[in-house]
Amino acid sequence: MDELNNVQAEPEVVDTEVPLDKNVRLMSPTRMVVRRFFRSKLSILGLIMVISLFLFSFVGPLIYTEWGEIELDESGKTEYAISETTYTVGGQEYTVRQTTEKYLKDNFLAPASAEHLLGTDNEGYDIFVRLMYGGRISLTVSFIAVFLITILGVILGGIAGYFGGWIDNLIMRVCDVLMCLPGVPILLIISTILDASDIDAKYRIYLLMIYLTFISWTGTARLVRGQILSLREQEYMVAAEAMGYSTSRKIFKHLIPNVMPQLIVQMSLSLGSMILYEATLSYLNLGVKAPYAAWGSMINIISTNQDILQNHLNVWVPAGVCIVIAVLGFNFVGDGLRDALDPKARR
Amino acid sequence: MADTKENVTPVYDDAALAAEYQAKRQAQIEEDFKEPFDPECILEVRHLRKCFPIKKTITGKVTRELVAVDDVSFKLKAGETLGIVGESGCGKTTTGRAILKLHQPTGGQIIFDGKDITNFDSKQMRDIRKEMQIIFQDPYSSLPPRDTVGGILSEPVEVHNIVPKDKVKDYVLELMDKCGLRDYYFERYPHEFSGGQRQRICIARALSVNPKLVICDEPVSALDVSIQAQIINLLKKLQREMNLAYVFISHDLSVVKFISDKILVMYLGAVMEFGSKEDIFKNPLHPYTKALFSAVPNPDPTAKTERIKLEGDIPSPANPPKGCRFHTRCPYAKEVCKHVTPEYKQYGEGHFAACHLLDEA
Amino acid sequence: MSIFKKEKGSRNYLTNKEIKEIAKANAREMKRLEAYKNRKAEESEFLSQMKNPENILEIEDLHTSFFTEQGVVKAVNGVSYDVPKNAVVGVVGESGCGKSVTSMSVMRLIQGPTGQIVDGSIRFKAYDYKRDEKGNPISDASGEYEMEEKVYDIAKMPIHEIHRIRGKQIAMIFQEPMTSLNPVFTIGEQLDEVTFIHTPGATKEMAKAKSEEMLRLVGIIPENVYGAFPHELSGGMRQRVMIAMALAAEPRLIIADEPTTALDVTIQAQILDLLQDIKNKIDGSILLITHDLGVIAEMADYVVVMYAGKVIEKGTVYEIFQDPKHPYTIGLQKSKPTMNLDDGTDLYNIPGNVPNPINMPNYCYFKERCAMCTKKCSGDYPGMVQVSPTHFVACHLYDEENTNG
Repeated sequence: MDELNNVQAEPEVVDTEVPLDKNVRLMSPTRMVVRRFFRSKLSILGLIMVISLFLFSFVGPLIYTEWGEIELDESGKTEYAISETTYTVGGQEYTVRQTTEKYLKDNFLAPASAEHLLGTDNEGYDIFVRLMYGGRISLTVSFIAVFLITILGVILGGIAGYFGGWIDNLIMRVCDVLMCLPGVPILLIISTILDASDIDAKYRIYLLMIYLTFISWTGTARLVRGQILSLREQEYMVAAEAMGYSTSRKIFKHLIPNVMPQLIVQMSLSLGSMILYEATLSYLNLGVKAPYAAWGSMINIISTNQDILQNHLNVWVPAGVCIVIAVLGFNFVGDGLRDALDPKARR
Repeated sequence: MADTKENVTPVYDDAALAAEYQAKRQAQIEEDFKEPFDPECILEVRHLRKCFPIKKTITGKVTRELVAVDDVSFKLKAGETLGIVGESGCGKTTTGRAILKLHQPTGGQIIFDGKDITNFDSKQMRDIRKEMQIIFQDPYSSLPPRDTVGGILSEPVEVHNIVPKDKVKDYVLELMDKCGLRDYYFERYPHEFSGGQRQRICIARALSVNPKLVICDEPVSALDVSIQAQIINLLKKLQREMNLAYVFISHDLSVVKFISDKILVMYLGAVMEFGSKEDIFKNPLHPYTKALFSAVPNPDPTAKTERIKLEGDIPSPANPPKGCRFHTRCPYAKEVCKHVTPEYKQYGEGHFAACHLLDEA
Repeated sequence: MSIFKKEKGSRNYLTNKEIKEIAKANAREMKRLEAYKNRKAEESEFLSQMKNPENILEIEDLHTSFFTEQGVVKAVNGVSYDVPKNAVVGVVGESGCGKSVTSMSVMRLIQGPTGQIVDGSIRFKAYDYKRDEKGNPISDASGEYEMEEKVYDIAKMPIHEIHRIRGKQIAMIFQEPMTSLNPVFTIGEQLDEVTFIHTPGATKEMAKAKSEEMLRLVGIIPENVYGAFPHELSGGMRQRVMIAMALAAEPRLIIADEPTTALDVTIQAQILDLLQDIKNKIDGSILLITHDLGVIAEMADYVVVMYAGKVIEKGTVYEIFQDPKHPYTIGLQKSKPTMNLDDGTDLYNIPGNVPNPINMPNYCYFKERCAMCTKKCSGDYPGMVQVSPTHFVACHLYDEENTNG
């Protein structure tokens, strides 16, 4: 086949590949992530759970306005109490029977009815409404905490990872120290201080969450630092260096966007744990105090009265269910996001 | 002289020899630094040295270091290609990055375009970066995954103000055309492309700032043979069109032979041989060069050439052998090779080598 | 510029509906093949006969597919080739051509459930124990096992029977010497284990003696290495240890999948010499998979050229390198810069890329990149044409030659 060997093709410098066909996706990486996320049934379920809780807590009270958060049901029924008093006057016994009218001002521990969808608690507050308000507190508090954790973690982790050297050492040792602190005992101490210093019951939970932020940013900082350390070694970062880009451009245009996926996963997973934290605090009566509602403090009612634990499930079970739904929902979303962002990690 | 060599085994005082060698080299370096810059050369590297710390005390004092590049010198003219070959751990990649000052050199001079850039700070470097670019081996990790091809290519043009803002897109499209990329790739993401196409994007990015020098760090090693040929041809075409100087780093001798004008053979951080392509391939002087050539498998089954076999492994660069670095594997090693570092000398017009055996002949 | 406007209704990616359909079809197919893979079977079901008794391995019309989210990737699409006794067969091709998948199919190492052998047969002449109906080895009174030569069809073997062959009759050497050894065990422990697994009733002393013998065979002084951990060895040494491990079970066939790609040239030369040497010593065959034409030319007796999941040309090493027939083989050889090549202006290059593996065309897969294609090439995929007793090529250019004589 001489003619075959003699074919001296034009020095071909133009890439003559067939145009990308329909199997080659014309999709941005973000869009691909969204697509993969919605392909998993569990993550859709998680998203539905989270969204419905949000609607329930934030939109719910606007629609269902029968009762307020700290509005007592004062439609208590009248009860009659018969009392007998025996006197002895000069050896003679007189018995006086007296019927007293007793007003029960509050309609407490009412069973579920059309008036109170889930009944009332031991004070006479409407449980359904308090669930909604409690959700507001729980969700807001956890979002704020996660937001603060992320900001603090990204800044400190980013600095440590990008600049390295002594500053990295310093930040990481601070992390180590913070991780050594026993969180709950300190929480108790702070709570006592707050009790003493007359802070509005509604806001003390936020102060506690700030404390929680202060001790839990270390995880995020470590994650960001690790990511940045590995990204820095990627050749496209060396290429950016060789291009002569400024430091801020390298950090904000090239590093941070690539840390975002892991960060989003971390955020959605820690939302779940923050909700649990908040519930625990409220349950221990350290968080939101009466008369304001939080899911944790709604469960806490059982500690006051054994009878409620056994006979009035409608008082405390709904709050527990809400906590479970919230935590599960955030974890499903987080797992779904992780799989969508890194499809290889699943196998 | 010959008699004593044969009859008496010379006693070598390693410490004294090392000191003598150091002093001699230091004098040589100082002398060379005084020489004026060659105006014809786009890049001149003089006695480049790069060490990495291995062990540090708590106070940050380096107690042990790895000499990744030891005394590398060469000159490169515009439009020429220098090939650097060697096995893993020979310091070829470090040399490339030190030229770009991605690693700050420990010693030596780098003269780029008539300026001594060795001690430029990062701000001064930023202006000069657009003159010298790099293409990497791995086309997968060298492109940012979350940006479109258009974005990747426009960014350097905008940062360095190569063309007015409104002409950036046209400029980039023209560039893409030059590198054999279709214009509708502009909106695509790197993950949609194969290795060869990604390497084209990398080349386009490097050329977007109109550099004078491009360091190609194993640009075709990760590609298939047929794609390799496409990329090599593209690099050659662009060199002709833009009068680029290349420093082409590769472990593949046949590729280096194809693209280079001058070749630098490195082993464990040091230069073994340097010369024009003809010198190196037709008349290799150093036994390492010879062995390296004969180790390349020949795709002609009838030509079973006699190999110069190299025994053993490449020593660790953290602890290179004394004397000539190559003596542990050299089939012709003599006693003197184990103790005395051979001098890097000229053996012909522009042909340098470092070997004791050449002096005897 | 019109090209940047997104055309309405243009579908550049699969719709969700299509993805669902693909997933459904894949799930059905994967379930069927998994069940076939895990079935219980009598030995007679996977016993077979060699077409040519001189061969040790015959791959015939092998199809291995990967069921991905975007569709079925036919990674190996009707591959047939033989490995004769005491021969080195080199399989060459670019990445994604299916050369590794073929060898993984022979070892049955394809990762299920997405990867499956769909069709075809892999006949291997094994030297195995005589077995009773339950598949247990028959031993005589003195505890000696009887051996016999029998031909297994590996593609039809249930996966739990594969231990009869894997590692013992066919051994594999991988590309990455850095990751193929377990870092927490010493070299000696890992070598001994091979003997324990494949030799019933082996004692510690026997295993150690065997391991040391193997290390000596690959040119390592056992005293230095037997007690060492993998990280203490260099890449070349580790590859030698990998070869020793492969040899420890006395396999009849060694599959070397890019054994030298991760090594430096001078070390590569050492390992190639070693492989050549060992082949003569152990009286076995080597299936060498590589993308490097030079390695193939130095090592192989027979060469198989693969492209896009198909064999496009096969023959002896002289035929392939001195009289290549297929335009792809010719292009591949011309596009590689060689040491002998004197200054040409540019390298020959094969334009374009390998076609998308999901929607393969009906016509010759190489047509779009081929400088020689004729009208005929738009027709069916070309069949194998015999151009000499040992030389076969799949190209329409040679159809005529065949019919004429």
